[in-house]
Amino acid sequence: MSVDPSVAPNVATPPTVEFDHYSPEFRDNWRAIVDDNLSRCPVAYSTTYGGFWLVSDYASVSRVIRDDATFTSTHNMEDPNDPRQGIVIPPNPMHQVPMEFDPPLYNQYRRMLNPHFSPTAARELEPFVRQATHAMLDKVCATGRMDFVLDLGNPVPALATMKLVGLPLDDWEKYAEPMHGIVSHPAGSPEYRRCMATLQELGGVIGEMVPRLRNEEEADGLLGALTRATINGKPLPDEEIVLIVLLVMQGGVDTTTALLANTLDWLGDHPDYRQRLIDNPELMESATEEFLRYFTPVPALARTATKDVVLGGQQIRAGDRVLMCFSAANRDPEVFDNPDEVRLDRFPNPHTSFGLGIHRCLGSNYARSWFRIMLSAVLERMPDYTIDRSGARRNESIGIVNGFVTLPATFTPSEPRGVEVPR
Amino acid sequence: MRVTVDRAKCHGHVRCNAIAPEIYRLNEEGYAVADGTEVPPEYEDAAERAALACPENAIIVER
Repeated sequence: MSVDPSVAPNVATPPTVEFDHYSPEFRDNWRAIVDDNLSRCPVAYSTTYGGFWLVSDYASVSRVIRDDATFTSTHNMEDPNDPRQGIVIPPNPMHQVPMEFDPPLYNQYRRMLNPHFSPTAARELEPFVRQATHAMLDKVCATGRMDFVLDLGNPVPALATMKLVGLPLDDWEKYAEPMHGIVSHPAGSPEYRRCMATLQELGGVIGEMVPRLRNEEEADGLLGALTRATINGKPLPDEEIVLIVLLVMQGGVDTTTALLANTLDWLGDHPDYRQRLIDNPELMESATEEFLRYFTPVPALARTATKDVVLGGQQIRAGDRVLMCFSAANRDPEVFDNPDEVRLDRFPNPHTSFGLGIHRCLGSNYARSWFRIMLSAVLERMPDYTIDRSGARRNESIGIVNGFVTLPATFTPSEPRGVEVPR
Repeated sequence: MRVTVDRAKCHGHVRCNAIAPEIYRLNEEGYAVADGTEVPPEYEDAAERAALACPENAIIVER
């Protein structure tokens, strides 16, 4: 790729916005903001974070995400002056392997990882997830109050992720805590930096385990599999194994939590929909897709243009950063009839919440499965819950994950079922 | 009716398999496989609905 850094994007003619996906305004009014961008300037230049193209409409988002030759995911960690700074704006301090790779190398990693994330793999983990879910509900059901995030949405996906990676289940909070901090605070804020440093330390702990695991023939989980995996006939370096595991954990612990919390919050306000879902469990399949669309747990991800290209009538230059706004594309009326309405049976529903193209969320099969298990269990065991608004707290910033920090609720108490937390 | 999953376009969303698992089988990686697969009449509606559900438009239906 050749890029002349002196060629600035032509910001004189395109519509210009000051878009800040980490701002309190976006957290509080994201639907109005993305709808406004969609209708007024589906491809706009944003002056924030060093400047980038904000892409909102479904057609342009799907074009960017599917054309990985023109819009690269590569992140040059060595050279901050290389415009290719990966999939987050501003750039993530940790290399996201293999999300920040392009074909053909990317495809090899993906093929190696896919069998561990297939629908079959997700199905095999379901008894564990069900047990963890009911064990967590057992702890609180007799009290008549719980926090949907702290008592369910955090521990269950975190335990399931620890299980699939092959890390000690008892350590789940140690890993989950800094990950929650990273996704719920503005990128670069002190709290974000503190959590990122903790996560890097935990990466060091995993890194120390890798040489030992390489000598075990049957080492458990994804971590064990990665020590045996080869790319181009060579084993993966220790550092890459650590980065892949951290990315898998980051993907596993907060996104499904965010989907669950948003859904339970919304169903708290819409008891008629809640009852319809309880009475018609066959709606769970399409309702899951609709909640994914409507809440878009990961609102946006980035690319870098590798050549000059016209997108949505705007001239994008090689080296320009591009932010694909999934939460906007999921509300594009060209694709979704009456997008502001939740339709539990919406069909078709080609939402972008797991991305499109070759980078489709690796964990999507787990996400759907865990979400359904947790939501069904709540609807079964505390169907009359009421959200305690005074204690509900959204992420300080929703730029990375649009979720909740706390979501307390009250309900009619019930007897525990005697389910133990899986070991 | 015959259905084919375009392997270059399929990215493993598994919407087709969720709707018509009898027609769209998955490989070890969890991606759908169908190559001119003959659809028995009782599965035609589901097979067609599955093609509509694909967010990548990867399914070709031939009558």
